[in-house]
Amino acid sequence: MSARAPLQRFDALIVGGGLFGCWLALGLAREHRLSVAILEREPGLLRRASYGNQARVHNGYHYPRSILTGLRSRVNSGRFLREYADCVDTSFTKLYAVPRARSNVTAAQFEAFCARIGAALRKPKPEHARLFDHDLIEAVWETDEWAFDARALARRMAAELQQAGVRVLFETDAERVRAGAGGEPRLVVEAKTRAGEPLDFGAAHVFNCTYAELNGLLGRSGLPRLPLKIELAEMALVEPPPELLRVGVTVMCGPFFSLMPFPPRQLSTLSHVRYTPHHSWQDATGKIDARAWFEACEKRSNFDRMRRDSMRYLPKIGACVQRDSIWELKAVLPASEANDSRPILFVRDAGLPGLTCVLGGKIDNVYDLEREVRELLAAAAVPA
Amino acid sequence: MNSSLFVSVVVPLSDDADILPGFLDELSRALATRWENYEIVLVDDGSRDATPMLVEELLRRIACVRYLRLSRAFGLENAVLAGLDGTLGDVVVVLQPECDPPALVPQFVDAARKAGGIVIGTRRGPARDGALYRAGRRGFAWIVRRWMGLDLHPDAALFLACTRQAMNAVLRIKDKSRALRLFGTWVGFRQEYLPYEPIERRNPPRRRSVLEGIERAVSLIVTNSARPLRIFSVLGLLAGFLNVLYIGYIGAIALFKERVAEGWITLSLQHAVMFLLVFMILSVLCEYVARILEETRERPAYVVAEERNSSVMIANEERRNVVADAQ
Repeated sequence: MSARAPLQRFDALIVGGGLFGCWLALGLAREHRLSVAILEREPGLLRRASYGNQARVHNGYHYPRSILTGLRSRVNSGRFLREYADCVDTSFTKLYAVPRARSNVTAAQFEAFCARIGAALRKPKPEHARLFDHDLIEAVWETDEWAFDARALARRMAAELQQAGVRVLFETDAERVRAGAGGEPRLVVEAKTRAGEPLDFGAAHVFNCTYAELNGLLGRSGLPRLPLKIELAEMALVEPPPELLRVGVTVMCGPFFSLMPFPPRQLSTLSHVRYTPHHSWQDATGKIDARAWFEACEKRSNFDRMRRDSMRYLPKIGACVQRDSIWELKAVLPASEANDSRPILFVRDAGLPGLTCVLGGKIDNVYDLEREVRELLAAAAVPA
Repeated sequence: MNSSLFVSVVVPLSDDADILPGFLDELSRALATRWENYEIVLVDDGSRDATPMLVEELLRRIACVRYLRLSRAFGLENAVLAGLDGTLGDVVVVLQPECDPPALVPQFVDAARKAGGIVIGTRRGPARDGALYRAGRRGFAWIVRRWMGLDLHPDAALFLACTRQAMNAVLRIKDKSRALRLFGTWVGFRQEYLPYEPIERRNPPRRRSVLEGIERAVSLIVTNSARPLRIFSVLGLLAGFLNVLYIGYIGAIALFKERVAEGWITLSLQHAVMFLLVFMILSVLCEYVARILEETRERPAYVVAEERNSSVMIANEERRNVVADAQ
């Protein structure tokens, strides 16, 4: 047995280089002056769930049944837009529409909700209003919602992390977390490089930011898993027809769809509430290994069904041409099933003291963590 | 295997948990062997049995199934409509689990595509319903033909296949009293009948109540035809005319007869005039009610079967966009 390399010590370790992991690392390094390292399995930042989504910078419209989620999105979006202006596409027109049947909100309710959270709704331009079938659609509005470029965001993060002195290790797979023994720090993360070389890291604080594979790390470490639902989600990457070129559309709120520009590929993503999820399971049981399953599963596109159903509401979608599909695992909290709530999961001492599990479904809400992190560190600073 | 045709199958369910697994297996096989892209839409019309739990388990086993559970029983036609409203297919099939053989679905789909419209199955073989019910159906079919000018086969079943175009036209009919088999002929697309042998999945088969049948028939006749109103409107006019004749008779008696009973002329005249007025008013009311019926029905004023355009685009390609003077 070859000797393991000596333990690398830090104040805090972040497992997962997605947006939440990077942002946490920056906060810990800058505000709290800790030495931080990020362990990322892919060869770059923001490669998985942070990339594989509809790239929406939320402004509150999307969750009309949850005032809290809507309001926090409104409050945070302005800040996100200011701080990451160079990574956000604001040039397109975003439309929201409510159908007459099968929707959880009526047009009047949607307007009341937006008024309550202070989100702007404007009368759409005639050429945009004309896009919809008004037999099926009750109302259409022009809104302020934007798209972020995950690749530009990754480059920004990389630069900021370097400036803040955060150590980023790519192609480093965190296998398990355990309590430190003897002279080791409170927690030890045993990792492996792509080449198979074992690496150990020690820190007082470890943040599990691995999103859909959250339970993977917990399970491999022999720690209790969290009750998440994991879904295989498909977003079709399409070339829209000229009428939909600089347009994003979301039909709310039920088995409907959303078309959004996708800046990294200069195409648009089409997602349908009924046809985007392909398969799902309850992750607390541990019966399915998310990573292995995702790599091995059959990925058969539902684009044709998405297109056919969306066309009924917006005929021009029929002219979209599919170029590709983005497949990703999506993690859903149990509470979110029943309503529109999309809170950030922040579980302290998840099985081991000092291990924090963080899971967020919307990137612009990341600012809500500031206070959580302060409180966490303040509590840790108090002598036991 | 036809890979580009998308077939949707709508199946209304009403306390059919006992026969559902067998039916769904057969249907799924029949579709999967012919087509790559299809969907099965199960519409649960307020079943009170174990259907929801059974479907939960079936959804894990059988692909491409959608299950819609209505909040309560809304009736067969409305349940079918709920299923039709969200179908994706280029061809839509409707069949009932109790008596329609899934193996025939490909045949219906082919026939619908060939006809470019609607294909309705007609039941052959031994009768399922009682003699009274069958007589009722025949009567209804006759009324539909005479009074509504629509073609309805007396053995027409709710096993039908329809092209997307015809289906979209039917879905635009927003009547509250629904009959898919009638609407199909009303929209005017090509309609054909396909005889088939129904099977009996349930033993003993469920009998349909004659009273319910009569109730539905009356409801449909009243909604779709102003003939009964016309008939009575005409009868009213006739009665009015007879009253006029009677008034004439009274006048003749008054003029030419001696020894008329006292008060007879006044009484008779009063009755006759009153009745005349009543019949006139009723006749006119009948006409207006017929008009209200027409106006409140939300049916499209017309249905376009197809559109074609000139293949010559520009009249004169030689002409240039230049004018010789500035006027």
